[in-house]
Amino acid sequence: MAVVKIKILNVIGRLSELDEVTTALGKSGVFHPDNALAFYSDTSEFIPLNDENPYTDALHLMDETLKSIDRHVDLLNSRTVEKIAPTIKNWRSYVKNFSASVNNLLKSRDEIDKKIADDSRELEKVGRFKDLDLNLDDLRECKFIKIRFGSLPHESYDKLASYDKDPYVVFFPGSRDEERYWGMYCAPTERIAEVDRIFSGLYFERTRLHELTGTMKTALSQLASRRESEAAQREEIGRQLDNLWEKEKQTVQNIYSWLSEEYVYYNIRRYAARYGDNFILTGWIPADRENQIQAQMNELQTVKCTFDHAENPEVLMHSPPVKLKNKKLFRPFEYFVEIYGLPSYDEIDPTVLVAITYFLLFGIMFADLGQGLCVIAAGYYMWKKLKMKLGRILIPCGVSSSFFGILFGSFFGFEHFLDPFYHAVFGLEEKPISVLEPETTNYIILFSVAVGISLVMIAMLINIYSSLKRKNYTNAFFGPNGVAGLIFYSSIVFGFGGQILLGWKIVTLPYVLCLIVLPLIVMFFREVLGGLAEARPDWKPEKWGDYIMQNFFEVFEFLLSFLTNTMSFIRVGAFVLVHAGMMMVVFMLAEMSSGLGFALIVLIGNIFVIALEGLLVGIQALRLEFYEMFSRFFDGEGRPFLPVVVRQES
Amino acid sequence: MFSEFSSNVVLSKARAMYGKRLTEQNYNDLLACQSVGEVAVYLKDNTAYGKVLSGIEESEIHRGQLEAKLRQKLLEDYASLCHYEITVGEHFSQYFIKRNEIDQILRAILLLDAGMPEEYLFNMPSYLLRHTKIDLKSLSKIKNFEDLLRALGHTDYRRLLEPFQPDENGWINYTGIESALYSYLYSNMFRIIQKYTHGEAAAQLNDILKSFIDLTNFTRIVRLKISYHADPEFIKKALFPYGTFKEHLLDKMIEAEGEEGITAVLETTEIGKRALKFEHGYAGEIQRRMNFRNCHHYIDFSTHPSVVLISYIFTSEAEISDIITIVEGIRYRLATDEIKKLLIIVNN
Repeated sequence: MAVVKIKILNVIGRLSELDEVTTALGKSGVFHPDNALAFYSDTSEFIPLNDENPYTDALHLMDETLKSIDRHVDLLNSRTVEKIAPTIKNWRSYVKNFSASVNNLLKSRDEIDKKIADDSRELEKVGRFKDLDLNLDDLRECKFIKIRFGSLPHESYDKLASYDKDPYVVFFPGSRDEERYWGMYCAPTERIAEVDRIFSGLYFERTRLHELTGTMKTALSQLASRRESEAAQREEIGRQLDNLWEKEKQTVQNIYSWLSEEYVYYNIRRYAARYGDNFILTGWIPADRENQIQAQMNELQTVKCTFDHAENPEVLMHSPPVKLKNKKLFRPFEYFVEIYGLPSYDEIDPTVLVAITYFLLFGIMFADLGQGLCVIAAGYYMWKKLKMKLGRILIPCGVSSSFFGILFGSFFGFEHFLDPFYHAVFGLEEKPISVLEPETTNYIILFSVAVGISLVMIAMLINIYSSLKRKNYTNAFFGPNGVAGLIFYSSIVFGFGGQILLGWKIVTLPYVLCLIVLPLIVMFFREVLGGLAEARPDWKPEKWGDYIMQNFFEVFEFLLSFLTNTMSFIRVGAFVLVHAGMMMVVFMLAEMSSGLGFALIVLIGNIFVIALEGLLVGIQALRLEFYEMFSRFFDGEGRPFLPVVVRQES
Repeated sequence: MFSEFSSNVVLSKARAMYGKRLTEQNYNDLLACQSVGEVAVYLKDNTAYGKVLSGIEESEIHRGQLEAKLRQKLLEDYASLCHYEITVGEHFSQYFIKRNEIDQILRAILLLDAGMPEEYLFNMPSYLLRHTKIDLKSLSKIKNFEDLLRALGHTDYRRLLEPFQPDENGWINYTGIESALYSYLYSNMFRIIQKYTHGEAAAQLNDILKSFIDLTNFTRIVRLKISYHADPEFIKKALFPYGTFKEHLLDKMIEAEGEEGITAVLETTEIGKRALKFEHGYAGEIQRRMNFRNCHHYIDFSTHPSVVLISYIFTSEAEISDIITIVEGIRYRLATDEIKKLLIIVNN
């Protein structure tokens, strides 16, 4: 239930050693750079460093080239890169040449592809005339007429009727498809230009048979063999690409890894600022890495560095980045906290609370041993196979479902399946809790309200602790989620709840005045009282009238939220009943059939309930966490600790 | 009651269809194309025009073929919307057909004037044959103005064109004919609006049409005065007798000095103030940009099926016009930036 302790690091030195500094900090993998100028009040002497990263172009070119040939290289580890770094020379020209070689081959391949596509189209067109029994060489010999083979769109064919007076504008269709007629037209040599123009206007597409020789059969085989030889050329280019890759793979991997590192380290310079020929660089590191960084900086001649605790008020105002640190058991639930927003550095990390409460709420609302085991399996699959963070959360949720399933005696909806177990282990006749019994139903609803009251109070207690820690006394003592709110809420709950349910007679006039009215007044004047307590000069409102009007509505909203937040938890009990009810419906449907039908309906019903209710319960439990609890003690305005790294951990 | 319900289907249907319009990314991709074929392939594979372009031979498609296919989609969309818009759908669908007929007549006249009337056949839109009462095929066989009148048979168009017989030099008053035909079209449209719509729907339809006509009149004055140095009387005859501009305002425009002078008069009107906010390279762009912006707004916010229907048609026409501009730009090897400047939608 904590965040990693971090420190702010200020580095000052000569510009000549800036590269060594950025490389050392980048290699450490724990440096989160921040804008150096934001930490100084007078920045008139400073100039931001906006040098262009010299590695960008080469790295992008390499990326694009690898993408174009669908190849991927894994980055070498930093120790290997350190070893090969001295051997890397002329990297710019290497990247350029490698990219040019690849592009030349790809360009040739594209040209071949285009030829293959053209030939395929031509083959298809010529194929339309394959049954023509004529020699194409004879056609070319014709002196007095010209013949054109090709196709006309249907609508153009219809328009031909307009030329019924011109004997040469005649199209002889041989076949047709959905779009076009295939055939030929011919005209005397002296009229062919005019007839060509008319047919061109009618979108006639010519099939260039005149470029082919021999019969249609031989022409087709000519085309086919031409396409085959082009395909062979394409394969040859593919082989050349493979050979090139095999030959250069290692060098590419070396240069790509080295470039990636240099590019990332150089980017740290963007956060630095210069004054004269000195630089300043500011960032955050985990407190436990201070000595290691200090030692690395000490090796540099002109570099001085200072470390400061993030807890210091001057540092705290710069919103130190946050890295959550929790026990392995609770770590999956950090995902939910991140969805809402990370805590600020001096705020409480609610991960443990979420883990415990979500675990319990999910289990109570989705109580079934068999279905819980399915949720565990689904969670494991989502986590291991699909790499989903949610999967890791579902595993404990499934465990919780199974546990409460045992308690409520439900196994895939079979409500008495576990009776022998209770009998053997606890000596009971049947399961201890039967949720659909009328008297149990009331207890379940009351229990869920009690859970709600407890959780709302816990949220208030956490808020008091967190506010004291942040020295926000107004919120800790006088706010609706502070001491005043807690006294007000608990007095109403115990006073009226005790009187109604247990017959306690404790709600007297002094009780009401001291424990209900007084805290209400304190909440109403919380800013004024807080201002006086913290001796703030601006404690007095500018206009009392406006202040009272505004606070009247705010306090009304607080009161409403106490009520709605508590009632919200009724859904916990409601879902216990809904789950049992849904399974009861499944079994009513199943009992209408027998044998295989029964088994199928039970199976499909269970799958349906697991999917639908699992989703609903997951969302509803999360909603209770976020709206009913988080909103009382948690702002979630922290920013993540994102150190500069070359290799992203999966 | 039921007719209103079914009319309301138009609202969601037209908006859904409008949602499939070209995106900015589509326009950028189209501008990057190198040939008409590439444009056709892109439209076929990535846009709502895919269905109407299926089966085309993209490697050899012509600009005219592509335009005809795009317009065919517009007609199909319109027919499907009119099917639901019972209140005025039938009448508005007549308007759309009439507009297409007028376009065909004007095209035939242009070709006749250029001495190649038979060329009409090449770009004759076959998809229109099923909907029109004019024998379009006979428009390609005309040899003179008399033939044209005969081809138009007993339609209203013949009556409108009869006063425009060519003079002894064979000069055809194309501008006059264009004005007469479009005046007829708009008068029909206003009659439908007056007869079948009322209240807010009528006001919105009038706004779309009248602002378009106002700006068309402005554009005509600029074009005839600056490019053709036409005399005031001729210009007056060429204007549409509709819109919100009063006669004295149009006179002021006609009398104004140069394009700046005419624009200054336009700026004194409410429509002018709105329209001149749009960046434009030349006067003719203003009306199309303003019209697109107007219709785009009504598609989003109007609750009247008839308004959304007409707005959808105008915005779709703007889109097709932009595609044709891109195709033309590619054919004439214009720089991408130059083509982009000419587009209506991207620059709105």
